[in-house]
Amino acid sequence: MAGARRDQDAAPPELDRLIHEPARLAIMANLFVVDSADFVFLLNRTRLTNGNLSSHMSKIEAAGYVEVTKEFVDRKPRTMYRLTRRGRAAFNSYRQALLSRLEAAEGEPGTEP
Amino acid sequence: MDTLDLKGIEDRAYGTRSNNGLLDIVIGLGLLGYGLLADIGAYLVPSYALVIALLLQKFVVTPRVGRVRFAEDRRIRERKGIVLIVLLVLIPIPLGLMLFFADKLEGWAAFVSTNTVLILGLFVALGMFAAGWAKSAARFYIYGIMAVLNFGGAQLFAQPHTWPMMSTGAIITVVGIVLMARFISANPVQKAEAA
Repeated sequence: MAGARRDQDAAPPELDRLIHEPARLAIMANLFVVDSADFVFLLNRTRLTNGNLSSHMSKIEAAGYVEVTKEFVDRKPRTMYRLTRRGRAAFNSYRQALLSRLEAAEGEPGTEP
Repeated sequence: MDTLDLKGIEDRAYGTRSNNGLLDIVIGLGLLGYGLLADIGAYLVPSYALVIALLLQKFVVTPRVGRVRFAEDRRIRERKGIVLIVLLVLIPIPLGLMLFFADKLEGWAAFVSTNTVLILGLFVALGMFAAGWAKSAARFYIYGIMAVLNFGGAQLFAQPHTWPMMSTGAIITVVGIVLMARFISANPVQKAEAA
């Protein structure tokens, strides 16, 4: 019993602040459900502006969550993005952490059933 | 919570591929072209539908939704769907040749030769079902049922197979055009590329 109470009182798992930002969360979620995608696909799915998406992608790439492949097709540059194994693990952990927080919040007094 | 609904996110992403009307236009124009031109012997002419598909893909779809490689299970399903459709297109050819060169039309051969339009309709319907399964697009099942009704009606009223081909193809093409118009209005061209 005491152990169970200790588990309930334990601090919920930390949320990855890099992923927690809404735009980056949308990017990560969209990359998580596909194998790889290009910049235009992410623009379309996230509805971010070009500069915004570029900026967020740089941060995600710097964290090692995304691998970037640049190639030229019909003399036009095409940038493909794919979540790395680390990025997938980080996103999974983030989801688990968020879900456990939400589940914990549901049990608290004053919350809607 | 929306971003945690990964199945929903994947479905919406895949929807830009399966609900943009491109496949409807290709299949519809293919059937329509075949129905219109079969009598003058231009059996390969409907391949223009493929050319139109490639042009639409390159100049309409890709500039709007970009390029994406979906997860392995989606790709396997699409490959299986393509194999099924190719088989359904190829199987009637030896069947037709066997009937053409048969000395006597007895048993199943007699049945097939007297119900050619209906059997052709069943192959078209199975192709639609395969496309619907492969692309997770329920409207193709409706196209399949419509094909059975159109070809069955033509069989019943002794009409040539080109009539149900044209009517089925025309309806599917119109639906495809409407879907593509909605897709175009909902997805503006993305001119940007990564820095």
